[in-house]
Amino acid sequence: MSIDNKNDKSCGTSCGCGSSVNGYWQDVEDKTALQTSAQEFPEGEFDSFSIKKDRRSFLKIMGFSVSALPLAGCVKIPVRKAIPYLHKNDAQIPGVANYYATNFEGHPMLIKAREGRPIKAEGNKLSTVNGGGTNARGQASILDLYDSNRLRAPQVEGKSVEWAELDRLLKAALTGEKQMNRKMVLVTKSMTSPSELKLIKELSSKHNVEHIAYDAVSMSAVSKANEESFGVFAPSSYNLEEADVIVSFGADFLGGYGNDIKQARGYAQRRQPDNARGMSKHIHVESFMTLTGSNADNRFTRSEESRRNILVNVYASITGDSSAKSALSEEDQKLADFIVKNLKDAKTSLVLAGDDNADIQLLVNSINQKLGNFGKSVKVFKSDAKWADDERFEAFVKEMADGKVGAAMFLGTNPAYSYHNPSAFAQALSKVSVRVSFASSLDETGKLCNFLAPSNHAYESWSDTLVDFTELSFTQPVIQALFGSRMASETLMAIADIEGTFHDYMMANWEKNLFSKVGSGSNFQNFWNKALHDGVMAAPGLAKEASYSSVSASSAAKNVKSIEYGQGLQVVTYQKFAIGDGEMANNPLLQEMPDPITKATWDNYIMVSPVYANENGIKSGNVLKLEAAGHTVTLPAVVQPGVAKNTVAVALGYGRTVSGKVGTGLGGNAYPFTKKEAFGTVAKTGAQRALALSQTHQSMEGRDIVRETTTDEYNKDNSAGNKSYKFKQIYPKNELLTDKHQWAMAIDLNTCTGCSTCVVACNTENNVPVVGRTEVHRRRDMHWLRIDRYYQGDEQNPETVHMPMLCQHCEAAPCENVCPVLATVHSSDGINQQVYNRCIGTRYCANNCPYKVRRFNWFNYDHSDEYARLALNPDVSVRSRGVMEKCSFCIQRIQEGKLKAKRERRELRADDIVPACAQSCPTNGIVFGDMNDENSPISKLLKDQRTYTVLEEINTKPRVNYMVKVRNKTKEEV
Amino acid sequence: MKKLIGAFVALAAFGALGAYIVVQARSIGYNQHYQPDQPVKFSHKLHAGDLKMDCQYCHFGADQSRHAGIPPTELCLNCHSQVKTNSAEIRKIQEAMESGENIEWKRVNLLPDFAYFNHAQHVNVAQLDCMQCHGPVDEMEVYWQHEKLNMGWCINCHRSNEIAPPENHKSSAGGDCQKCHY
Repeated sequence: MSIDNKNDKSCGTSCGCGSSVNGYWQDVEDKTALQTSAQEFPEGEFDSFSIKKDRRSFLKIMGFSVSALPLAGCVKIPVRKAIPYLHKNDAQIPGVANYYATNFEGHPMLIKAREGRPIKAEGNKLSTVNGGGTNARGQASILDLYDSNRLRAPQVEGKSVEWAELDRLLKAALTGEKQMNRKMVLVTKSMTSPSELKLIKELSSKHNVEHIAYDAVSMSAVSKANEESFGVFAPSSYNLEEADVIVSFGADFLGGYGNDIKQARGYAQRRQPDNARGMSKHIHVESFMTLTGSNADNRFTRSEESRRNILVNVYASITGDSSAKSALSEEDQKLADFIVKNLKDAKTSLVLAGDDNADIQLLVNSINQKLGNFGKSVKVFKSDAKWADDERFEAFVKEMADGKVGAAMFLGTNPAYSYHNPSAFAQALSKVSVRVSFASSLDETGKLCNFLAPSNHAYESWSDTLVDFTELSFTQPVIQALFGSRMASETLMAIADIEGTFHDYMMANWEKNLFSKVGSGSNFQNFWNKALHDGVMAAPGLAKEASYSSVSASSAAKNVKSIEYGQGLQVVTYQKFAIGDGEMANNPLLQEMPDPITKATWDNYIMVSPVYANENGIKSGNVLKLEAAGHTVTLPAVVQPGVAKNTVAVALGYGRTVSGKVGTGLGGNAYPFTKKEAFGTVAKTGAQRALALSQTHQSMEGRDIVRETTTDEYNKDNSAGNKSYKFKQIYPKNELLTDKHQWAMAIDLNTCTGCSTCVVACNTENNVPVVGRTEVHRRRDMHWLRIDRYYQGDEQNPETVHMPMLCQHCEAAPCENVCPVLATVHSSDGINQQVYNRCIGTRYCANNCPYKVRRFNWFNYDHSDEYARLALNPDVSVRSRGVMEKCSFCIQRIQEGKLKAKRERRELRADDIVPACAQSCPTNGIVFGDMNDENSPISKLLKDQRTYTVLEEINTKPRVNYMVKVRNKTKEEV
Repeated sequence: MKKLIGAFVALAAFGALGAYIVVQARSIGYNQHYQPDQPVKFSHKLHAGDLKMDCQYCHFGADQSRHAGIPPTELCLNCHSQVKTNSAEIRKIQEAMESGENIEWKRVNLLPDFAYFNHAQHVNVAQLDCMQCHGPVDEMEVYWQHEKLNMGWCINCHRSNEIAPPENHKSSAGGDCQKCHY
């Protein structure tokens, strides 16, 4: 394998090797760092150490400490109270966790609660759709629950009121509007909950309220195309495990497009070269580097225009609609032919497009139909769900502006931020007299509303959700409402004069209407108990697969070809894996999660292609003014390989003006660029903003840290690309490894997509502090697990690898030799232990670690927020200033699993111990276990010929193993 | 001579002071023999000693959890809704139940935050007797801390005892740091 040092360009930015001798600086970022080094330590941080250094004070202090010693011996520690429960909940034993099945953002979850407070969110393993996988937002959701920024009481015209008072005033106001014959509208997200939909229907029939679904980033175009092809206005459901060839035209299906967890899971099932059905081939055409594109076997950088023209030509070739054919450049024609050949050769394939354009989605439908993919790799279902409809929402904004709307209620949506023209929306909304927001904390839309009815967090609510049309997932409260909020459903019930709680309403709906459709058995109470216990169940009765009706896409092809492209740079928007549409922007865990591609934290930025940057003298960190579609943002540039020359990409979800102390004012709002083709210009402002990057060194320095091969090579020799080193052992065998269990981990570089969910999972499990933008910039981020991203090959279209890097638990650990106080030592079961209470903070170990995975607590990081601290894991110490820390293989989970087996008087099973990272992974890319157990999955993986250890040549004998990345490429393609 | 005796006395006094300081300093924070007054005059001697009640009737967490736990107040009333209902001390329990304001006991055994201890591990798995660590509780009118509960005390046991393992399990108490510190 060749490792390319050519791409080491951005190394110069701030890899640490670019030293700043005598105040010289290598580049802009280095310079900014120099200027701020004077304020390296926050003011007041070390005040407690400052003493006046004269003789008197010296004697005073010495005298005090000498006399204090014997005194201290007589003093008892302060009295601590122990307050038992008055009444004990039968299910709760202090110190033992309870697990509850629920749902977050449509994904089945399992919440771990200790003494009644949720501390960790996991995926629900019983779900057949997500299979226990999660994403970054699901992992970070606990912190949103404890967000002290949430509203504490309902408000009317800016004054806090009681709920009963809100109900009275709101009902009176709505009745007034009804009498004036003005329209009443409820705007929600796409909604699949049968019970909530029934409630809204009841509300509509009583008060004539129209229900409109609106998503910040919607699948509206797909739904519209499906309406034409299937007569069903609903997005498609993708089964990537069925596809032998996946061709994506800019659809970020591992990130912001569709159900990312389900899709990542299906994708990974076919990404292992030994898969019985063969490894799938992933071809990706896009205008900038996305998470999904970085995982492709064959990735191509094309401008939006040529990407779409290629799609039209592929459509023409596959369906035989020769009228759609158009002349392409030689390169593009070659690419189109390559795609067509692969699609035609495949038994089952899948074509996707990321465009929010119904014509393009119609072409995609025609291609998938012609290739026989419907019913296999892509399905369309008819259900009662309400899906986001952009056209209806546009019309609604116009109705508001025309003064036709008397009442507008916003549930789970924030259009004042996410609408493409926020000021027009605000102006239109000002003509509505009753404006209701159900947001749990004040947001941009709430700010414009006169009724605030804060709703509960999902973990305080009841609901039922149809997941992927096939499975029903229940949302149930894990904790009582913390902040005096009330479920939005109950507010709607109050408006509709329905008595009781939403729980009773939902249960009655199930008993009367749904039990007969999806339930089994004859006893409803038994069914209900099981449903809430499992949290999920198959629900074939709630959706029916729709059948394709032949529709000509010729006119759609014509429309696509005649899309008008403007002059200058095309601005494209995307969702970052962590922040998504920006609803959770106030979550510090998500802000500090490094972006899988750029590795930037706490910011959005303008991604510029290296070619354009070169021509215009733009460097990463230069603040640019981007003007397009009548909107301007001023953001730092990131020179990003894999961006088309005349394209700039900006992430959505930033530029929140009303969020919380974390989310407000970060980055710039890119939603105004989502209105069709946005073209514009960038100009340097002359200012600099150094980005807080978690990875600043891009080169592997010629070492085979990541090993890879191609399917051709692999099929010839399963150890292809996996060179083994033969050398003399200089270290003696580690005599300490005596335990019958020996822990090890294997990470499959083929199934790891780099999404970084594991990073957030590790943070929440292990109480890893969030350090903030400035500290990340000083490379003091505390993540125990990071994902290294390396590029190789052509700068315009590089190949990318993602590599999770954590403590390797070396059997011959270099960190252990250098600790003067034995604070890091080896355990008998093969764990490199870090003992916080011994550590004196010399940081020798971090210096001597070849993998750079140790993290030092430079400060006492803030855990003082009385709510946020409730999310801390009580089984893991909160580390204080001056202590080194790092991955412990989730030792608390190992101990817990062992104890559980011992208490049950049985041998340890492989599934007793799952570290947080492995548990969160949607693709099952991380496997942990006992390598002494012959039958465990880990010992099988360790014998695989793809398995290797990083920096094998330095003979540290890591316990973390990696598996060679295999790209599904033929020799010719290489 | 007098001077010599004086010097000797002074030296001895200094030495004694030093020894005292060292002895005291070594026990700082250990709290052995700590015996605070509790808000309810509950007698372990009566319940655990004379009446021979099982420890885990009240401290049921010891078998399943890291915490043995202070029993929930309603548990007292399992018996005391019938027994000694007129006693002034039982009255405190009843008041707590009525008012909802719970009794604030004073915590006696306290480990530092960086040390993880699990009762179930010792009581259920290792089948240790409670009194091995908590002393003669059946004789304690007012409960007091019997052992130092410092690391040396833990380690002594972990090193010397091959714990009689439950069937299927052959493992010693273990001396790895991260048995307790994580």
